[in-house]
Amino acid sequence: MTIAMKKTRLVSAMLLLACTLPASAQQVRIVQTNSRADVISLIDPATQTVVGEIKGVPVNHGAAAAPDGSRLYFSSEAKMTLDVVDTSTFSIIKEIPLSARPNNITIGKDGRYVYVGIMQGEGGLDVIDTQTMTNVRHIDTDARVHNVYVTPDGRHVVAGMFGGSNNLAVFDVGTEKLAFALYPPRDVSAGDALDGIRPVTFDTNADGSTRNIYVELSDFHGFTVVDFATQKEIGRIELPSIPADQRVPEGTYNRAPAHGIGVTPDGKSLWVCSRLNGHVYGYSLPDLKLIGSVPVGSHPDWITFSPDSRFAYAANGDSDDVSVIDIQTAKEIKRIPVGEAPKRNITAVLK
Amino acid sequence: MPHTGPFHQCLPALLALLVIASSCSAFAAEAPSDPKAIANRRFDAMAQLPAGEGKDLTAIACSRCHDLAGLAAYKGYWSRAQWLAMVESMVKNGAVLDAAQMNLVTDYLNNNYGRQPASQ
Repeated sequence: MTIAMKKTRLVSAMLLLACTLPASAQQVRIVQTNSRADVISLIDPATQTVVGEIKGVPVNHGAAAAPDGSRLYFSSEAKMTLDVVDTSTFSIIKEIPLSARPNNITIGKDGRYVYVGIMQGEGGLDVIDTQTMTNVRHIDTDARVHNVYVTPDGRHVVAGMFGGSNNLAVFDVGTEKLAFALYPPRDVSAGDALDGIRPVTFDTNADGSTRNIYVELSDFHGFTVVDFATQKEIGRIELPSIPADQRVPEGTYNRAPAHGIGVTPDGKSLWVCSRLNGHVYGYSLPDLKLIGSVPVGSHPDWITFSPDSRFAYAANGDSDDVSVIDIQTAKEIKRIPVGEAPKRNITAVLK
Repeated sequence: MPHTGPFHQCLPALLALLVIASSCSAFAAEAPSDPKAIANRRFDAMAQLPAGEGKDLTAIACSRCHDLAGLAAYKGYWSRAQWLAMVESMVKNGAVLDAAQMNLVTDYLNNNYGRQPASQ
């Protein structure tokens, strides 16, 4: 066989291989922020390993993914910007100035707007137009915003706040007006952190509308259940009691003994991080029965899931790793080293 | 900067308490998440803060809730006004500092982690 023939066969083989691949292969990635660094870690849930990094986002806080997987968005507390990352190159293509120091972020279901929680001054939400990549307006919240979410049906923006007349505020996405608010201050003299709303998550009704909000509160080792339709708290679940000698020192958990909560994509279970003893607790849905407790790394702070609901990923802020939990067996199957002080994480399907 | 507030007068005793607390049995329990390692890391971070006026007050006021090793990640980004805004937010969150102490902590943070003016 001549060299020319070999080349022809090689090219043919490559063309055949290319034709058998989907036109746009999608990649699932666990996007893991590292709050004490300028690097974000990308975990492949197929191999449970770090397969990439995004650099240049100092004191990265929140993460969000465009619905089409073409971009990732990160808030930087140090730069006070929203950084836009092109997922074809994993490089920053735009740094958008924010009104003040940001905390967490979220993106609307259609990808048009990113909402950035502002945790300084008067607080509020900066609204970023993803088409023009500009900070186009500000939603007043009357308080500093720690975490912000869009409900699974895309109809509401939910802000968890510190220092407000009510600290859980629900806005209509279309009008950006307040729909309802809950959780007034318990003890103003103790400082806003006591009243701060920590992470929240949602489950849905059969038609996709929001059923409940599950809310973590400052100084409460558990979560509350808010019925979205009636706009009322209908339950309060305390995590299993932990003997004093198995708890971390009080000052180390930042008045948030339970921090990090999520519902699996299949809607069948709810998982809650406890900083108090480095565990993740699972509850069945909708009946909220305890189904397991999983020892993980130090200071679990946030949790996300693989799209098939097989695995949970708990970010351990003090041991600088991510615990991979098998949902079916409620066991930790791997601990993946990442960057310094990993906290917020999301699951993204990239182009 | 005057150091005459009641909080400042209590600093030596508070520091001594922190040292004692770091070695007491409650901190030494071997729970799955290794609280001793967490506590030690925080106290190490306090020891590693750069020397300067306001260091002790900054360490005590901030370590109630935060791991001070995180401060280094902010180095070079913020002006004094931005550090003051951060300190004001933390006081709203519950940090116990009066006005003079807020200035002292702000100066300490700005001197050690602030954005330096561009050279002429």
